[in-house]
Amino acid sequence: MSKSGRDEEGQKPNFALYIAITALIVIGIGVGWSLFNNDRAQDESSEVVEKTESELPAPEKSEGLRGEFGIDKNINEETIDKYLGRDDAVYRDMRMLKDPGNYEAIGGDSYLSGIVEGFEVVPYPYLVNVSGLPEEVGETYTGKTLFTQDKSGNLTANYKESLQILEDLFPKDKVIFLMCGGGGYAGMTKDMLVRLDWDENKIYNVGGYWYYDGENNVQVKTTRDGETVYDFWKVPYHEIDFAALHEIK
Amino acid sequence: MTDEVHGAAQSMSARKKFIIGGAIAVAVVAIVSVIVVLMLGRKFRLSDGYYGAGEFINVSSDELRQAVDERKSFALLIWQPGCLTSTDFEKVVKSFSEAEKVSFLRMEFSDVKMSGLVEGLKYYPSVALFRDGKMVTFLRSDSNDDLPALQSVEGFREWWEKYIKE
Repeated sequence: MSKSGRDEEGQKPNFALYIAITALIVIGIGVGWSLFNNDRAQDESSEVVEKTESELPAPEKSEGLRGEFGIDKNINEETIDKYLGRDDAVYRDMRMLKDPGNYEAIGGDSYLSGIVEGFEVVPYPYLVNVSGLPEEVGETYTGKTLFTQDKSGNLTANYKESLQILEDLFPKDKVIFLMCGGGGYAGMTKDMLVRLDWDENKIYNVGGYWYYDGENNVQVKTTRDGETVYDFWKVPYHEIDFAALHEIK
Repeated sequence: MTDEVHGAAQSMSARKKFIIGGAIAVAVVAIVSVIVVLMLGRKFRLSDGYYGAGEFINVSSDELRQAVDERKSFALLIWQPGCLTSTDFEKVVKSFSEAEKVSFLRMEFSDVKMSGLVEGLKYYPSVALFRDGKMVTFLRSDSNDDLPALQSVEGFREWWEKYIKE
């Protein structure tokens, strides 16, 4: 065979050779692509492992009034996106879906308008009695609660299952990220858990949804056909069925 | 030699001019800076309509912008209705407002933030002071220096009196 690929008869191109070379090139590309993708998948999986195992800064209060509510200096509304999706953590938003208080009377909104993806709602007013809200709001939730807190801050369980429910919702062996509208309910939840012997170094008050401007916003309040609606079906929500619990008399 | 002396004399003269010119420039900058600081530091009164009633006036973005465009001097309470982190400070401002018979404009944090009229505002609650339509200062919820003003009527009064004439 000559160098040009023509057979020894000289005139016709050797198609078999061209086909063989092409086939080798295609196979080579296929093998290379497969190897490349395999390596990338391994890198990504090791990145995920690395993310969930990365160390967290110790809880540290912010300065100013935010610090008075226990909002964390390092893990807060501005930085929480970096800490989402961890296997060693739970994420809890302490607001109600709809607060019975008449917030519209003071220009507010009684409904939860949005949430950070990954957070699950556990209404703080269902955990313990709440006070200190504006008078114009009228009566907010005054129904059943897992605990009652007196003026000294002492907590009394109202149901046999109260502590068990808290331990299920806020596992002691996990890092607990708490959030609400402005950081108030989240701070009160942390205080409550610490009073009940949770480790304060594993609980972070991430602050308020009102300040969140990150990539993981889930919009609940929206407008459709000119009407304001609330897509609560988007919100992971933990119901507490008090009727099924055993009251401590 | 004469050329050398002449050259040396010329360069000295240029150097002298440079030094004198530089000194004048520094002096002018210093004087202007002092004037600016004094003017900025000067206390001011709110526009007349905000004295007498001692109440909160809820405003929309448009109404706030109108007050700015009309070059009014006013105090803006920035809050979030029903939020516990806002409630205690609202009581502080309400007590102050009623005692001093001074009215505050009041607007929700999310609306204020969208308006962009309080530059640098990150958190509520706060009070922002506007003089002749320009934002002068506001209380920061993430500052230890502003904590006394956010927690008590006396602390708030002390902050207020730094900027507002009686």
